[in-house]
Amino acid sequence: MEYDIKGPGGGAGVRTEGLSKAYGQTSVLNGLSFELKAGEFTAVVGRSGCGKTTLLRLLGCLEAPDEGSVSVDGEPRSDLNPDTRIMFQEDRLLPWKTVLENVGLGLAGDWRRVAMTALGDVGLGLRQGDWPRTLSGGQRQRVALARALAHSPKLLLLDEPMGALDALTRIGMQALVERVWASRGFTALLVTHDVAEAITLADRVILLENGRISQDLKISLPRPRQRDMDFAKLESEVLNWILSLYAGYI
Amino acid sequence: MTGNPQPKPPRVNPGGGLILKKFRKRLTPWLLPIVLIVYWQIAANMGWINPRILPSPLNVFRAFVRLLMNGELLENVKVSCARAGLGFLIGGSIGLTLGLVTATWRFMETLLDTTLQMVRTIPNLALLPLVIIWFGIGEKAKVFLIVCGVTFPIYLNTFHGIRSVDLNLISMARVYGLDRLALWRHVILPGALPSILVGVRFSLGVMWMTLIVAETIAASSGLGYMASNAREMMQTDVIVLTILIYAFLGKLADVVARALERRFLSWRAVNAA
Repeated sequence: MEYDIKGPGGGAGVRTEGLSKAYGQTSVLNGLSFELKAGEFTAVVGRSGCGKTTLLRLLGCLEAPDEGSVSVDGEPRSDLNPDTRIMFQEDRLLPWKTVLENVGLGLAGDWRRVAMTALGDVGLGLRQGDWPRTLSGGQRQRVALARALAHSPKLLLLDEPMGALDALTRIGMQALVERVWASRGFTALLVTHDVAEAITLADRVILLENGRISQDLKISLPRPRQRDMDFAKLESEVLNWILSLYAGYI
Repeated sequence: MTGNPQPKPPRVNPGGGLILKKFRKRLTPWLLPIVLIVYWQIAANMGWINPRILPSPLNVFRAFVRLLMNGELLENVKVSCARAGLGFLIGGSIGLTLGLVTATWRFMETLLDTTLQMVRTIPNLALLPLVIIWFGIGEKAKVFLIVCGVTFPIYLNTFHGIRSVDLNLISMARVYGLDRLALWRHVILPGALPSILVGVRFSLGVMWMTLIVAETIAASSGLGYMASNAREMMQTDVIVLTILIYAFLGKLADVVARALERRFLSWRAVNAA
């Protein structure tokens, strides 16, 4: 099926109940229950292997949990849904389609107009006819963001989409993500290992440890966030959590 | 300051130099063949080469004009091309279908792949004696042999092409709501196309080779027949002409294959220029 085009629809509330997942003998998530408020921006941090990406895959219904459930806007969710979109670590653009065709992937009806609007939102309207290989890494991720936005998602899952970008490009990309989130109002969940990025973007930072939430911190700094003293204090607090986890392993 | 070399004045050569350069670039690849042919003609004129062993280029050209005028050449080229085209179409369809089926269904791969890999190692021309017994020296024999030769390169490359499509792209396409048909149309087939076209180019080569051998050994029409007939009458000029025409047709097929690649694979850097 291809999806109809909808206008911006705000954000969806997400609730998980006792989410568990194991691969073979290795348990990755252990009875995870939490709630994401509609329109909230949440970041999940934790050391690698803590289950961040698995959590995102379960929320996006790319995989089914062993136990527990995910519900979106009160409805139980077990299959891929057009109101949820994922941005991956890699851009995953189709190299044989132009930038505009990539953005319009999976849209029905007047897809060009919708794709063009989304492409304009990420500032790449002029590159619509180009092949993806002619774009830089940062531009390619912006196209991937436009592709997600074209579907007007109510829930956007971001799986370290800025992890592979250089520092300057990453800051630009963060500002862009914040801007479209603020204007479109979707619920966002960002998985990242970059604490500064989490604090720059999120209303709430969750620390995942051994498949459980070990810290849950509200960030109430005014937006757009400056890297000032308050920011630095929060950053070092979150870093200290993570490092104290590492202490057990070193 | 005197030691400093003066900056060279920019070469004033409006347009002319560029055209000359382009012309030279185009001409250079043809230089060696031209020199060879001229040398060959001189050698023939001087009597260094026995014309019964190797005719002069001019005589080959005369044979070309003669056969063109009496219609023999065009008729035989038409017959050969029809055989090649039909065999390629049938073999290509079989190879493509087999490749799609085995790459898509694990069961079909298990069932068919071992057999296909075994059969593919048999040179298709080894079947020639058997094919003559089965079909005689008619059209079927030639087409059958070409089908045998063309099927496997296309099969292998289609299978490999589909299997090597990036799984990340497929899972992305699923998230973005593409159904099975759209997934094939937008992701799997375009992803497999470069490999499939490699198979096409390879099998075009196999196609001509099979046709030449089959027509030379067992045929009553076609270019190969024309050559083997000329051999019996010691018409070396016709034999050389046939070889040149084969070369020309082979090159033509390659040009078509390249054009297909440029048309369908323009998204790849190598073909962009």
